[in-house]
Amino acid sequence: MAEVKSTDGFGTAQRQHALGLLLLLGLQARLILRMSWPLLIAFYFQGDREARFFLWAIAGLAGVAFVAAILHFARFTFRVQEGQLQVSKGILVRDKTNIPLERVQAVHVEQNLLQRLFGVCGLRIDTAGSKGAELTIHALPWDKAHALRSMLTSENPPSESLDAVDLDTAKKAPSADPLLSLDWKTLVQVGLSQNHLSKVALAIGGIATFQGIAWDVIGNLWSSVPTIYRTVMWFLSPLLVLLSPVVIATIAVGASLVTTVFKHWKLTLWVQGGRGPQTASLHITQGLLNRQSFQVPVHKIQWVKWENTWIRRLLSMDTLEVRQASAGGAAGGPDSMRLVVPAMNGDRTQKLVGLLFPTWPEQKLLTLRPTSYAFRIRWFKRGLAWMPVAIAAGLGLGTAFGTVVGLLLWTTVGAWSRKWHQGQWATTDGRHLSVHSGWLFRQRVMMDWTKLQAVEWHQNRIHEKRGVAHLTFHTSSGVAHLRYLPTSLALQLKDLANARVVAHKGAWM
Amino acid sequence: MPQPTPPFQAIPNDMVHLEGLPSLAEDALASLEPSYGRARGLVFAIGTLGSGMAWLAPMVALTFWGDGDHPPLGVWLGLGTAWVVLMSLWGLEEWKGWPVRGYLVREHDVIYRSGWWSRSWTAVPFSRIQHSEIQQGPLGRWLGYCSLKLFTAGGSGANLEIPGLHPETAKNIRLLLENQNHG
Repeated sequence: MAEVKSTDGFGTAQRQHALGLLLLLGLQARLILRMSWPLLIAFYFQGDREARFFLWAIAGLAGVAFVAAILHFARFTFRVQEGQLQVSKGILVRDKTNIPLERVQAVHVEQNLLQRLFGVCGLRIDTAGSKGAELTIHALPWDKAHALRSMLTSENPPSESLDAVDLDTAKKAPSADPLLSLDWKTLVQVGLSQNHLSKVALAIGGIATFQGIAWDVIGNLWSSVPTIYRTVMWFLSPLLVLLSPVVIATIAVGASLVTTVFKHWKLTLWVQGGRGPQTASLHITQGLLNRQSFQVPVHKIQWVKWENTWIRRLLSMDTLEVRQASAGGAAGGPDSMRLVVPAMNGDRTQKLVGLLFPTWPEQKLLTLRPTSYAFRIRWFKRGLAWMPVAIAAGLGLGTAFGTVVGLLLWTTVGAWSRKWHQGQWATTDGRHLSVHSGWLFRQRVMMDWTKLQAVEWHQNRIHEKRGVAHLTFHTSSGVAHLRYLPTSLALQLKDLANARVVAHKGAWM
Repeated sequence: MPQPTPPFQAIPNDMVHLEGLPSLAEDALASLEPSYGRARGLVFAIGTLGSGMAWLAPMVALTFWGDGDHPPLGVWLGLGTAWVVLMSLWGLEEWKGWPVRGYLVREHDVIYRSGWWSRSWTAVPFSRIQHSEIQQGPLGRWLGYCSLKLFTAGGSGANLEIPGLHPETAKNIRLLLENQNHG
């Protein structure tokens, strides 16, 4: 890439936008607050004289942190030269990082309210060597950020000159036919079909916090109610106990709905810059207050997952997750950069599969199912795990009762295991693998065997007797398991997948 | 379910013969260094003795020097049986598992197999190896073996570690790797 001359003004070393300093200071302040809030609260309520020294210590720490932030801002420069993003930073230890452009896996542009006011955005850059973002630039003017992003992700063929990047295409709105453009109705459906359980804790916490005020209000209202109605209401009061779960559920669903609207507002998923999978990128933009825009080159995608719950299936919606290579592999932290799209339906999924895996299906599909031993062993293990319940029932309420409970448990567990077993299957065309699993929560993982990192075959002595074996396919961003396959088939697939990788001469990342 | 015939055409992936490597027969894995086997035996012996002491010493101390009640016979039997069973399972795995441990270097990939009770077989293609590491601990330096770690992109599950190689062999594999990836 030595022939690249014009780098759209990124050739000289430059700092980020001045707002970056403010954001850095804000980040430091948040960090200090997070460390010292118990102390500050204690001081506020008790006004302890001794605590003053701690306050001075915190103030000193804050001073140092702010100076550090200013120095960090001043020292942080970047430029694009000779096909590399060159970043130098560091206060005491000077640090120079060179990231070759073709090694950039994904770019995330985000804009919170403050950044939006100043017309700047933050940029997070992911390489395969980092668990989360390799590099974060807090503030760049909008045009520059998008130009840099286009330059970083190979929307242009890697071999061609980067001169072709022009700011207009980078700024241009999604192409005419986006894969997904979330309308109001779907947005509400996504919100309603969220996992509300996590919000229940929030609802209970909220009620617990505000119950003091609520009692006052109720007390005031109670005193103003005429005596006749009081008797009636007193008899109706048990209803309140019955209603409280409804109240909690309503709050939980409401919270899900609000967070969904904030997060997925105006979600658009589209493909841009493509004359083939090597040059196209998958884009997503979303968010009401925090606008996010995520971009990952199509050929960098290693692992794709569709997931749904029974409620999402009713609405015929899947949640899609697309992963590029990452040092964390399957493990995802809060900082991990993943592209997650709610509300994929069959039509969109088909379009996306056609785009991500253009040669699928290469040959007639082969369906792979676990042997019935998988069902029997699961039934046995789960049944055994539930037996203490039956034994306890038998000891407490008599042998006959215990036997009935035991039989019921075995039958139920058997039915569940059967359902689960029916949900486990996979298809392959000899190059790709699509693995389905689950019953209430279903998921499908798809990968290209030419992008595999390792193939693992696993069998214990009992499996050997029963003629079954497990296979694990490792990619650089996630795995797919095929469990309880007939041994001979597992061996063949292992060899086939392995041969697929070694025969593949092209780039995989 | 029906047994499918080999579903798709086979792609050749021939073995490679390395200088300094034990000669590889078709589909036969090279076994690890005997000195590594001795090290494993040593670890097993120390583990057995150590865990034995860990429960025997307090029990003996309670019996002879403890005031009041002696540990009942049931505790002796229970702890003893558990120890014997666990140690014999470990010993069985080490003893039977040793011949199973082996590696194979082919033209395009490296394979490592291990485990007697639970057998696993992992293949990593050369083209996917990002970097490698040769590690030699104090025990390895004393007995003369080292372990070769091959790192791929992504999760730790896809990394391969071949323990118990002769240092020369490890270097040769590494050399071959470099030639494959950059040659």
